[in-house]
Formats: sequence, structure tokens, C-alpha cells
Amino acid sequence: MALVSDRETFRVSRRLYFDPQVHERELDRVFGRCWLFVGHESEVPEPGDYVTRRLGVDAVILVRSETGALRVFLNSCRHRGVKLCRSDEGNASHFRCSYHGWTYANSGRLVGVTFQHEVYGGKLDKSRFGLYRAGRVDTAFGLVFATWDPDAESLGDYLSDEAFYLKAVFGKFDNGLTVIGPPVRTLMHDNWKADTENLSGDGYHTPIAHETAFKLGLFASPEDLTEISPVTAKRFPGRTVHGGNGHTSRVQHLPIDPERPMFLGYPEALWPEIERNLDERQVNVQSRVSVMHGNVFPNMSFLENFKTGTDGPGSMCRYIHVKLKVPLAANLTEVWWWQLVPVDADNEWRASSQRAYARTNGPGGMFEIDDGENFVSTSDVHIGPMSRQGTYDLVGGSSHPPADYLGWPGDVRDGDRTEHTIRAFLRRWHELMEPDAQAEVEDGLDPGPAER
Amino acid sequence: MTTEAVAPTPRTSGRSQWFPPPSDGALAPRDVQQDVALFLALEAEAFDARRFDEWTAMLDDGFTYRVPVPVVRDGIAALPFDPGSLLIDETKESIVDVWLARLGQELYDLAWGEHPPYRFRHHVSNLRVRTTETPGTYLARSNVLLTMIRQSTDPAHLGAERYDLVRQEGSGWMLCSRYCVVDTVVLHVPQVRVML
Repeated sequence: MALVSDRETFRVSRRLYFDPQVHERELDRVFGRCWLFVGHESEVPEPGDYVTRRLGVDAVILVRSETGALRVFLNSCRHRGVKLCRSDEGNASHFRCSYHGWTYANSGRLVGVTFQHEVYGGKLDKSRFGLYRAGRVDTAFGLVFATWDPDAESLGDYLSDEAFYLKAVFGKFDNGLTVIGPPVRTLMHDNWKADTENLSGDGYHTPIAHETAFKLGLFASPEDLTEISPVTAKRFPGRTVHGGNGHTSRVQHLPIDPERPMFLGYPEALWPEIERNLDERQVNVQSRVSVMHGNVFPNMSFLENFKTGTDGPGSMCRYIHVKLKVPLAANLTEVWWWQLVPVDADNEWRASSQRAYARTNGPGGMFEIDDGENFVSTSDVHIGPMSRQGTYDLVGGSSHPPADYLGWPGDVRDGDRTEHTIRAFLRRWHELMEPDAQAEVEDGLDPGPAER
Repeated sequence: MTTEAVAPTPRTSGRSQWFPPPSDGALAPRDVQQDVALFLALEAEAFDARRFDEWTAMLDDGFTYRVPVPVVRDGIAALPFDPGSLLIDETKESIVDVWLARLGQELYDLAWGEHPPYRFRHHVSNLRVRTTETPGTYLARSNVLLTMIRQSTDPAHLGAERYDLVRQEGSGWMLCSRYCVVDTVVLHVPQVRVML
């Protein structure tokens, strides 16, 4: 059976979520080729600053070289493969191997070989043994990406229409965003796609999985909103977007129609620069945002959230976070969590944003507890032959109409209780995993713009 | 007492540093050591047995609970955590209104991630109680190993050092704050929101 089929319905094999063979192929065909998130520029501000990461599952060093360029190297000596950097972060002009002492400049060049005349007769050509490096490294709005594929398209082409939405989240402040401390790392006994599909744009689960958050006042209530602006509807309007190449977003707004753009939860002193740095359509996306989240295919998720009541009654705040899912095994994922704040936000606001995040969507936040249980249990139950034959039909939201009237880029749909973004994610995944199956795929559920 | 570790200047943090703890006092007298040991054992018992009203009554109204983000840094004196970024940052109010509310009867059926309830077992050891500048308030450092059981899976264990400020009140004790440094960098527990 095909892993993904959308001839009549959109049918997915359950093997996607637990089969080691599928996982093994993903490492090569998805993670070996795509642009992957490795960190934020603010983590390595000075020459020599480095952090250790995973590109796919390969251990890498992200380092700012002496010239200021960002580089990504396999964290492994070319001599016998020993790991070079053993800390999570640091600053170094050179990396020296602990085994036989080969030494590399932070540009990746091999500059020192111990006892080279005695061992190699002076004939070792050091220029041939620089560190293995990512094929390409580039940044977008402070986010650092790398790919193993030297022939990959440019990051801009790869991000496609998703760049519009990334700018709305990450590129709206004059002096950008900065990380709060080192990333948190957690180990989840789930498949990396479970969390990723959720953050792709699943607004269907929110009222159920997170019902306690509504009961506890962490979502803006009609009373909260009335004080801000006249309330225009009961439901929070939501849209989902396929931004191309499997990248997706969900944008949900508060049901208000203010006379001027409102970036609730941010200090009002920062509102003018947000409006200045975004175009009119991005202002329309960002103003009155309740929550905005999505993925950069394959394994980076982002979320910007407006929350009330996280610092006591009447409090309001916003936070941005990035989550990376490192696919260690078919049912084991190391999750990396970054929180980002505007460089120019004052300390009091930062502290409030940190608290709001920690209590809700942070690694210990209540949302993640409820989501995590769902993700893990989809791996728990999948060990036997019955599961192997099972499928999911992901057809939710296929009747949601296009929202072309908004003028936002990508395939934008009205409605966010949907599986639209999951289909977009899995179609791209399937193109990479089973390229020969392409001819079978008919886009019956989500016709592209040309077919509408 | 001084701590050997030196806190690096967090380049990105927006929070004031809490660490090192606000005390270099002398060891408290033996009866205080014994009293605080019993208090912390009773506190753990109340929490583990899910007697949350009893547990909450042991918290000072200004109680804060903070856990900094663990990290592996290079350097002999580097702290294994970042004092400027917090994994958990709670007050008595937020714990009662949010954490414990989710564990109560009214919300239990909707707090999906927490039912059936996790089971916790606190193993508290190596208690050292020291005086502070405030008479009647002590810094109680202890090691804790938390055993955590989700459903019928194998138990997970999380080790940490606790820095508790405890205050004598009448014949009893109150927990004023808990700052807790976890030993694990890649957090492998099924749920990160835990009271250590």
C-alpha cells in the first residue's frame, strides 16, 4: 500500500508514525535534502561563538567564523570521527580533536596535524581534510537554516510564500528578535510528524484538547475583548495557509474590528515599528492576532500567541517560540524549544512574556502537557500488524472555501478546524519519499489556484 | 558557605539573577535541622498523596517556584544552567489557580494530559539548613530524586538540587520559595511541569 494516497480520499498509512523503515528513508530523502532550521542568529553573535545542534539527526556545529559568516559543520573529526565540540555552546577560534589532536580553524579548515612528518611522512594534504560542511547555509529574519544538499535551491525559493508569514512573525521589529537563554531540550516518545502536523495548522483540536485553558481564562473572553474594541462575532475567525513546499500557517484573529491596527500583548511603544516594517497585508495578518503558528518543512514549527490571564486577572501578553523536532527514531523525538523576544522590549515585558510562555506553550506549559499525551499515545498503540495495515483519512476542512479576498499569498482557506495544512505537509513529504508515486496523486481535495 | 560556581553574565536574559542563593549563613542548630527535615518530608507526603489543600497550606502567600534552563557549558566554573531563563516560573497563585485547578474534580475530565493522574514520589536527602539574614528564615538545600509514573509505563526519574527558603511560623513552618536546579539537560520525563 502506498504511504499516502489521495486518489479518492486523502489516505495515510499508519506506518508513517512508527515504522523504522519509513524513518530510515526519511533521514535520507527528507532530512538529507531539505533546508533545516539550526538556530537563531542571536545565539552566536560574536566571531567564534558556536552552538552544537542536529541537522536531521547528524551532530553539527553552528559557528560564526572570524569573518562573521555562519557555518555549519559535521561535529566530527575527519581523522577518526571523534566529536569535536562536547558542550552545548561556547566560543572557540579552533576546534581540537581529543583523540590525535587534529586541529581545525572555525572556518572548517584543517590547520594542524600532530606528528605529521613521523606519521604521514610530510605527505598529508591538509586541504583535503577540512570538516564536512553543510552544502548551504543562509538566514531569514534571524532564523538560521542549512541543508546538506549543495545543489539545493536558494533559501528564498525554498521558503516560497511562507516567507511572507515568517516575516510577519519574525521580521516586524526594527532591531529584530533575540533568544531567551539556551534552548530547552525534551525527549518525547513519539514520531516527529505528530507534533509537526499539529503545529502545521490544526485548529480542530484546540477546543477539545485545550478545553481547560478556556475554562481557566487563558483565552481572551468576550468581556476581555469588549474592553478593547467592539466584538464582531462569537467565533474567532481562522484561516489556514499552504505557503508552498509543505510550509504552512494558521492565522486566527480575535473577533474584533479595531479602527487602527492593534498588536495586542506587545508594548504599545513597539506598535508603530511593527506597522512600518510590515506591508499592508502583513499588518492585516498581525493586527488582532489571537494565535499564529505553522511549520517550515520539514521539522521546524513556530508559534506566536496572545494570551490573557497568564500573569493574573486582566494581564495580557504575547510570546514567540520555535520548536525543532529531531527525529532520533521512528518513535523517539528530541524536541528543542526556543523563546524569542523583541530586542527592544523592556525587561518587565520580557519577564511577563517568559512567564506567559512557561505557563502555557513552554516545555512545562499546560498546552504541551495535553498535546504531548496525544502525540505519545499515537506511538504507544502502534506496534502490531493491525496497526501496520491501518490508515487515516485526513479529509477535514476540504470543503473550506479559498480566502482569495484577503490577498494573502499561498493557498489560503477560510476556516481553521481543518486538516488542510496536514495534507499540504504530507503531500510534500510524499513527493520526497515516493517520487515515483507522483503520477498517482490527484489534487482532488485542495485544488491549487490554477484549478479553481 | 559560598558556591564555587560562578554565574556567567547571561547575554540575552531579561531577568535578574537569583543565583547564587541569598545566604552564606552558618549551619542551623540541630533542632532546626530536624524540624525542617520533618517539614519537608510532610510537604512531600502531602503532594505525593495528592492532598493538595494540605500542601497549599504549607506555602507562604508570596511563594515562588523557579527552575532555570539546564545547559552544558564549557569551562570549569560554568554553571550547568542559565540563571536568566526559566523552565518553570510560578507563584502560589498561579499554582493554585492553574496547576492544581486542573487536578481538581471540576476540570479533571478535561485535563487530558493528566488523567489518569501521574504518580509522583519525592525522595528527599542530604538536607543542609543554614541561617539567613532574616531571623526565623532559613535556606534549606536538599537533593531530590523525583520518581514519576505515567499510566503503566516504566518510571522516569529526575534528580535535582533544591534551594528552599523556609520560615518558622508559630510552632510550624512555611515554604517561602523553591529554586530548583535539575541535573538532566535533555529532559526525559513524560511531563516537564513537575514540582520537584
